Amino acid sequence: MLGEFEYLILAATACLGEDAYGAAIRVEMHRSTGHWCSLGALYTTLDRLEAKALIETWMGSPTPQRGGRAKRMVRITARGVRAAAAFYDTVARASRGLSWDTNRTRLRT
Amino acid sequence: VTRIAWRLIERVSRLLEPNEREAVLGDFAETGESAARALLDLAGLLIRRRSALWGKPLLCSLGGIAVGAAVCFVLMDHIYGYLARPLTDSLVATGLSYATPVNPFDLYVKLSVVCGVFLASPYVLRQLWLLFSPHLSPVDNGYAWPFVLLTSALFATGGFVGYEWALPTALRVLLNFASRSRAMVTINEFWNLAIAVVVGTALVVESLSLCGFMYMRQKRAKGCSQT
Repeated sequence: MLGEFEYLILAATACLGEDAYGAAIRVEMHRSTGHWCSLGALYTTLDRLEAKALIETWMGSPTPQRGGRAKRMVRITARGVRAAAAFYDTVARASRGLSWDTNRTRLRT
Repeated sequence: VTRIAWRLIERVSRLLEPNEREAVLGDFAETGESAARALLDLAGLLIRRRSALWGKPLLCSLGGIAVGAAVCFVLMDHIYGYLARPLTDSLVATGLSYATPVNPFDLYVKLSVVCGVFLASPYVLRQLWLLFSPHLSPVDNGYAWPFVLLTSALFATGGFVGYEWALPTALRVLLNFASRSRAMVTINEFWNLAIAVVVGTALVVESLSLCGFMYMRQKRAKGCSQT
Protein backbone atom coordinates (compact mmCIF):
# COMPACT_ATOMS: atom_id res chain seq x y z
CA MET A 1 0.00 0.00 0.00
CA LEU A 2 1.27 3.44 -0.95
CA GLY A 3 1.69 6.33 1.47
CA GLU A 4 -0.25 9.53 0.87
CA PHE A 5 2.87 11.48 -0.15
CA GLU A 6 3.94 8.70 -2.49
CA TYR A 7 0.50 8.77 -4.11
CA LEU A 8 0.71 12.55 -4.60
CA ILE A 9 4.07 12.19 -6.33
CA LEU A 10 2.77 9.39 -8.57
CA ALA A 11 -0.30 11.47 -9.44
CA ALA A 12 1.83 14.54 -10.29
CA THR A 13 4.19 12.39 -12.35
CA ALA A 14 1.32 10.81 -14.28
CA CYS A 15 -0.23 14.23 -14.82
CA LEU A 16 3.01 15.72 -16.22
CA GLY A 17 3.68 12.74 -18.53
CA GLU A 18 6.93 13.16 -20.46
CA ASP A 19 7.73 16.48 -18.72
CA ALA A 20 7.95 15.06 -15.19
CA TYR A 21 11.13 15.94 -13.30
CA GLY A 22 12.01 17.18 -9.78
CA ALA A 23 11.08 20.89 -10.01
CA ALA A 24 8.02 20.31 -12.24
CA ILE A 25 6.65 17.66 -9.85
CA ARG A 26 7.05 20.07 -6.93
CA VAL A 27 5.15 22.79 -8.80
CA GLU A 28 2.42 20.33 -9.81
CA MET A 29 2.06 19.11 -6.22
CA HIS A 30 1.83 22.71 -5.01
CA ARG A 31 -0.90 23.34 -7.59
CA SER A 32 -2.95 20.35 -6.44
CA THR A 33 -2.40 20.52 -2.67
CA GLY A 34 -1.65 24.20 -2.02
CA HIS A 35 1.55 23.33 -0.14
CA TRP A 36 5.19 23.31 -1.18
CA CYS A 37 6.80 19.99 -0.36
CA SER A 38 10.42 20.00 0.79
CA LEU A 39 13.07 19.01 -1.69
CA GLY A 40 14.46 16.44 0.75
CA ALA A 41 11.09 14.72 1.05
CA LEU A 42 10.64 14.75 -2.73
CA TYR A 43 14.01 13.29 -3.68
CA THR A 44 14.10 10.66 -0.93
CA THR A 45 10.56 9.56 -1.85
CA LEU A 46 11.52 9.38 -5.53
CA ASP A 47 14.33 7.02 -4.53
CA ARG A 48 11.94 4.90 -2.49
CA LEU A 49 9.42 4.73 -5.36
CA GLU A 50 12.18 3.79 -7.77
CA ALA A 51 13.37 1.04 -5.41
CA LYS A 52 9.79 -0.32 -5.41
CA ALA A 53 9.84 -0.16 -9.26
CA LEU A 54 6.84 2.22 -9.28
CA ILE A 55 8.76 4.87 -11.24
CA GLU A 56 11.84 5.06 -13.45
CA THR A 57 14.28 7.97 -13.34
CA TRP A 58 17.15 9.05 -15.54
CA MET A 59 19.25 12.15 -16.05
CA GLY A 60 18.04 14.42 -18.85
CA SER A 61 20.11 16.85 -20.86
CA PRO A 62 21.26 20.21 -19.36
CA THR A 63 19.15 23.31 -20.14
CA PRO A 64 20.11 27.02 -20.05
CA GLN A 65 17.19 28.03 -17.74
CA ARG A 66 18.60 25.60 -15.16
CA GLY A 67 22.07 27.16 -15.31
CA GLY A 68 23.30 24.35 -17.54
CA ARG A 69 22.29 21.69 -15.05
CA ALA A 70 20.58 18.42 -16.00
CA LYS A 71 17.09 17.36 -14.83
CA ARG A 72 16.23 14.15 -13.05
CA MET A 73 13.46 12.93 -15.34
CA VAL A 74 10.73 10.69 -13.91
CA ARG A 75 8.33 8.26 -15.55
CA ILE A 76 5.59 6.22 -13.86
CA THR A 77 5.75 2.48 -14.57
CA ALA A 78 2.80 0.13 -15.20
CA ARG A 79 3.27 -1.17 -11.67
CA GLY A 80 3.16 2.43 -10.39
CA VAL A 81 -0.11 3.03 -12.23
CA ARG A 82 -1.62 -0.09 -10.65
CA ALA A 83 -0.41 0.92 -7.16
CA ALA A 84 -1.83 4.46 -7.55
CA ALA A 85 -5.16 3.11 -8.84
CA ALA A 86 -5.36 0.66 -5.93
CA PHE A 87 -4.65 3.48 -3.45
CA TYR A 88 -7.30 5.70 -5.05
CA ASP A 89 -9.88 2.85 -4.97
CA THR A 90 -9.13 2.17 -1.32
CA VAL A 91 -9.57 5.84 -0.36
CA ALA A 92 -12.77 6.09 -2.43
CA ARG A 93 -14.21 2.89 -0.85
CA ALA A 94 -13.21 3.97 2.66
CA SER A 95 -14.84 7.38 2.15
CA ARG A 96 -18.16 6.09 0.74
CA GLY A 97 -21.12 7.30 2.77
CA LEU A 98 -19.06 9.59 4.98
CA SER A 99 -20.28 13.13 5.57
CA TRP A 100 -17.56 14.81 3.50
CA ASP A 101 -18.17 12.40 0.62
CA THR A 102 -21.98 12.84 0.58
CA ASN A 103 -21.74 16.64 1.01
CA ARG A 104 -19.36 16.72 -1.90
CA THR A 105 -21.79 14.67 -4.05
CA ARG A 106 -24.66 16.95 -3.03
CA LEU A 107 -22.61 20.02 -3.90
CA ARG A 108 -21.81 18.57 -7.31
CA THR A 109 -25.48 17.82 -8.06
CA VAL B 1 24.90 37.84 2.05
CA THR B 2 22.98 36.16 -0.78
CA ARG B 3 26.20 35.55 -2.70
CA ILE B 4 27.82 34.00 0.38
CA ALA B 5 24.74 31.83 0.95
CA TRP B 6 24.82 30.54 -2.65
CA ARG B 7 28.52 29.84 -2.35
CA LEU B 8 27.74 27.89 0.82
CA ILE B 9 24.97 25.98 -0.99
CA GLU B 10 27.42 25.17 -3.80
CA ARG B 11 29.94 23.87 -1.25
CA VAL B 12 27.49 21.93 0.91
CA SER B 13 25.83 20.33 -2.14
CA ARG B 14 29.14 18.52 -2.82
CA LEU B 15 28.11 16.11 -0.07
CA LEU B 16 25.38 14.80 -2.41
CA GLU B 17 25.86 12.21 -5.15
CA PRO B 18 27.01 13.98 -8.39
CA ASN B 19 23.73 13.30 -10.29
CA GLU B 20 21.55 14.36 -7.40
CA ARG B 21 23.64 17.50 -6.89
CA GLU B 22 23.18 18.38 -10.56
CA ALA B 23 19.40 17.89 -10.37
CA VAL B 24 19.00 19.77 -7.08
CA LEU B 25 21.08 22.81 -8.10
CA GLY B 26 19.25 22.87 -11.44
CA ASP B 27 15.89 22.85 -9.62
CA PHE B 28 16.99 25.78 -7.46
CA ALA B 29 18.06 27.74 -10.56
CA GLU B 30 14.86 26.94 -12.46
CA THR B 31 12.41 27.76 -9.67
CA GLY B 32 14.33 30.90 -8.64
CA GLU B 33 14.29 29.83 -5.02
CA SER B 34 15.64 32.25 -2.40
CA ALA B 35 19.05 31.43 -0.93
CA ALA B 36 17.62 30.91 2.57
CA ARG B 37 14.91 28.55 1.33
CA ALA B 38 17.37 26.68 -0.88
CA LEU B 39 19.77 26.28 2.04
CA LEU B 40 16.98 24.90 4.23
CA ASP B 41 15.87 22.50 1.47
CA LEU B 42 19.42 21.34 0.90
CA ALA B 43 20.02 20.85 4.64
CA GLY B 44 16.78 18.82 4.86
CA LEU B 45 17.83 16.61 1.94
CA LEU B 46 21.30 16.05 3.39
CA ILE B 47 19.93 15.18 6.82
CA ARG B 48 17.55 12.66 5.26
CA ARG B 49 20.34 11.13 3.16
CA ARG B 50 22.78 10.93 6.09
CA SER B 51 20.24 9.53 8.52
CA ALA B 52 19.27 6.86 5.98
CA LEU B 53 22.96 5.97 5.62
CA TRP B 54 23.94 6.21 9.30
CA GLY B 55 20.71 5.18 11.02
CA LYS B 56 21.16 1.41 10.78
CA PRO B 57 24.87 1.18 11.72
CA LEU B 58 24.37 3.57 14.64
CA LEU B 59 21.31 1.72 15.91
CA CYS B 60 23.11 -1.63 15.55
CA SER B 61 26.11 -0.22 17.46
CA LEU B 62 23.86 0.99 20.28
CA GLY B 63 22.11 -2.40 20.29
CA GLY B 64 25.48 -4.19 20.49
CA ILE B 65 26.57 -1.99 23.41
CA ALA B 66 23.21 -2.58 25.14
CA VAL B 67 23.62 -6.37 24.84
CA GLY B 68 27.23 -6.13 26.07
CA ALA B 69 26.14 -3.93 28.98
CA ALA B 70 23.36 -6.38 29.92
CA VAL B 71 25.82 -9.30 29.96
CA CYS B 72 28.28 -7.27 32.04
CA PHE B 73 25.53 -6.18 34.44
CA VAL B 74 24.68 -9.81 35.16
CA LEU B 75 28.37 -10.58 35.83
CA MET B 76 29.08 -7.26 37.57
CA ASP B 77 29.84 -8.74 41.00
CA HIS B 78 32.80 -10.66 39.54
CA ILE B 79 33.84 -7.81 37.24
CA TYR B 80 33.69 -5.28 40.09
CA GLY B 81 35.85 -7.49 42.31
CA TYR B 82 38.51 -7.57 39.59
CA LEU B 83 38.24 -3.90 38.61
CA ALA B 84 38.35 -2.64 42.20
CA ARG B 85 41.76 -4.22 42.88
CA PRO B 86 43.97 -1.16 42.15
CA LEU B 87 41.52 0.87 44.20
CA THR B 88 41.58 -1.38 47.26
CA ASP B 89 45.40 -1.58 47.02
CA SER B 90 45.73 2.21 47.07
CA LEU B 91 42.94 3.11 49.45
CA VAL B 92 43.20 0.10 51.68
CA ALA B 93 43.18 2.19 54.87
CA THR B 94 40.30 4.45 53.99
CA GLY B 95 38.03 2.61 51.60
CA LEU B 96 35.40 4.35 49.50
CA SER B 97 32.22 6.01 50.63
CA TYR B 98 28.98 6.86 48.91
CA ALA B 99 26.63 9.73 49.51
CA THR B 100 23.21 8.39 48.52
CA PRO B 101 21.73 4.87 48.50
CA VAL B 102 21.40 4.88 44.70
CA ASN B 103 25.14 5.53 44.14
CA PRO B 104 26.17 1.83 44.09
CA PHE B 105 23.41 0.99 41.60
CA ASP B 106 24.37 3.97 39.41
CA LEU B 107 27.93 2.76 39.52
CA TYR B 108 27.00 -0.79 38.47
CA VAL B 109 25.03 0.58 35.51
CA LYS B 110 27.86 2.93 34.50
CA LEU B 111 30.48 0.19 34.75
CA SER B 112 28.24 -2.23 32.84
CA VAL B 113 27.98 0.25 29.96
CA VAL B 114 31.75 0.85 29.87
CA CYS B 115 32.49 -2.88 30.00
CA GLY B 116 29.75 -3.39 27.39
CA VAL B 117 31.60 -1.00 25.05
CA PHE B 118 34.78 -3.07 25.46
CA LEU B 119 32.90 -6.35 25.00
CA ALA B 120 31.00 -5.15 21.92
CA SER B 121 33.93 -3.22 20.41
CA PRO B 122 34.54 -5.62 17.45
CA TYR B 123 30.85 -5.42 16.49
CA VAL B 124 30.69 -1.63 17.01
CA LEU B 125 33.86 -1.12 14.96
CA ARG B 126 32.45 -3.31 12.18
CA GLN B 127 29.30 -1.12 12.14
CA LEU B 128 31.41 2.05 12.07
CA TRP B 129 33.38 0.61 9.17
CA LEU B 130 30.11 -0.05 7.29
CA LEU B 131 29.26 3.61 7.84
CA PHE B 132 32.32 4.78 5.94
CA SER B 133 32.74 1.86 3.53
CA PRO B 134 30.70 3.48 0.69
CA HIS B 135 33.33 6.24 0.58
CA LEU B 136 36.29 3.83 0.53
CA SER B 137 37.91 2.15 -2.46
CA PRO B 138 37.54 -1.64 -2.99
CA VAL B 139 41.21 -2.05 -1.94
CA ASP B 140 40.51 -0.21 1.34
CA ASN B 141 37.37 -2.26 1.90
CA GLY B 142 39.52 -5.40 1.67
CA TYR B 143 41.11 -4.34 4.98
CA ALA B 144 37.77 -4.31 6.81
CA TRP B 145 38.25 -7.40 8.99
CA PRO B 146 41.98 -6.93 9.70
CA PHE B 147 41.21 -3.32 10.70
CA VAL B 148 38.27 -4.30 12.90
CA LEU B 149 40.16 -7.12 14.65
CA LEU B 150 43.38 -5.16 15.10
CA THR B 151 41.58 -2.06 16.37
CA SER B 152 39.49 -4.10 18.83
CA ALA B 153 42.62 -5.86 20.08
CA LEU B 154 44.39 -2.50 20.51
CA PHE B 155 41.33 -1.04 22.29
CA ALA B 156 41.28 -3.96 24.74
CA THR B 157 45.08 -3.78 25.18
CA GLY B 158 44.87 -0.04 25.83
CA GLY B 159 42.15 -0.61 28.41
CA PHE B 160 44.25 -3.30 30.11
CA VAL B 161 47.38 -1.07 30.15
CA GLY B 162 45.28 1.81 31.50
CA TYR B 163 43.88 -0.38 34.24
CA GLU B 164 47.08 -2.22 35.19
CA TRP B 165 49.56 0.62 34.90
CA ALA B 166 48.10 4.09 34.28
CA LEU B 167 45.36 3.94 36.91
CA PRO B 168 47.48 2.68 39.86
CA THR B 169 50.21 5.18 38.91
CA ALA B 170 47.72 8.02 38.70
CA LEU B 171 46.22 7.02 42.06
CA ARG B 172 49.62 6.84 43.75
CA VAL B 173 50.65 10.24 42.41
CA LEU B 174 47.34 11.92 43.23
CA LEU B 175 47.02 10.49 46.73
CA ASN B 176 50.63 11.36 47.59
CA PHE B 177 49.84 15.08 47.17
CA ALA B 178 48.03 15.02 50.47
CA SER B 179 49.69 12.14 52.27
CA ARG B 180 49.05 13.67 55.74
CA SER B 181 45.35 14.03 55.18
CA ARG B 182 42.75 11.32 55.24
CA ALA B 183 41.17 10.68 51.86
CA MET B 184 37.39 10.52 51.71
CA VAL B 185 36.86 9.45 48.16
CA THR B 186 33.33 8.66 47.01
CA ILE B 187 32.79 5.72 44.68
CA ASN B 188 31.42 7.95 41.93
CA GLU B 189 34.42 10.28 41.98
CA PHE B 190 36.83 7.39 42.01
CA TRP B 191 35.16 5.48 39.20
CA ASN B 192 34.77 8.59 37.06
CA LEU B 193 38.54 9.00 37.27
CA ALA B 194 39.12 5.29 36.66
CA ILE B 195 36.82 5.21 33.62
CA ALA B 196 38.44 8.36 32.18
CA VAL B 197 41.96 6.89 32.57
CA VAL B 198 41.10 3.41 31.25
CA VAL B 199 38.92 4.54 28.31
CA GLY B 200 41.33 7.39 27.50
CA THR B 201 44.31 5.01 27.34
CA ALA B 202 42.28 2.52 25.28
CA LEU B 203 41.33 5.23 22.76
CA VAL B 204 44.91 6.46 22.46
CA VAL B 205 46.25 2.94 21.83
CA GLU B 206 43.35 2.19 19.46
CA SER B 207 44.11 5.28 17.39
CA LEU B 208 47.44 3.65 16.40
CA SER B 209 45.49 1.33 14.14
CA LEU B 210 43.66 4.25 12.52
CA CYS B 211 46.94 6.13 12.01
CA GLY B 212 48.46 3.00 10.44
CA PHE B 213 45.49 2.63 8.09
CA MET B 214 45.66 6.31 7.04
CA TYR B 215 49.43 6.02 6.51
CA MET B 216 48.94 2.97 4.27
CA ARG B 217 46.26 4.80 2.25
CA GLN B 218 48.50 7.81 1.77
CA LYS B 219 51.45 5.65 0.79
CA ARG B 220 49.34 3.79 -1.77
CA ALA B 221 47.96 7.05 -3.17
CA LYS B 222 51.54 8.39 -3.56
CA GLY B 223 52.58 5.14 -5.26
CA CYS B 224 49.66 5.45 -7.70
CA SER B 225 50.43 9.10 -8.55
CA GLN B 226 54.11 8.25 -9.20
CA THR B 227 53.21 5.43 -11.61
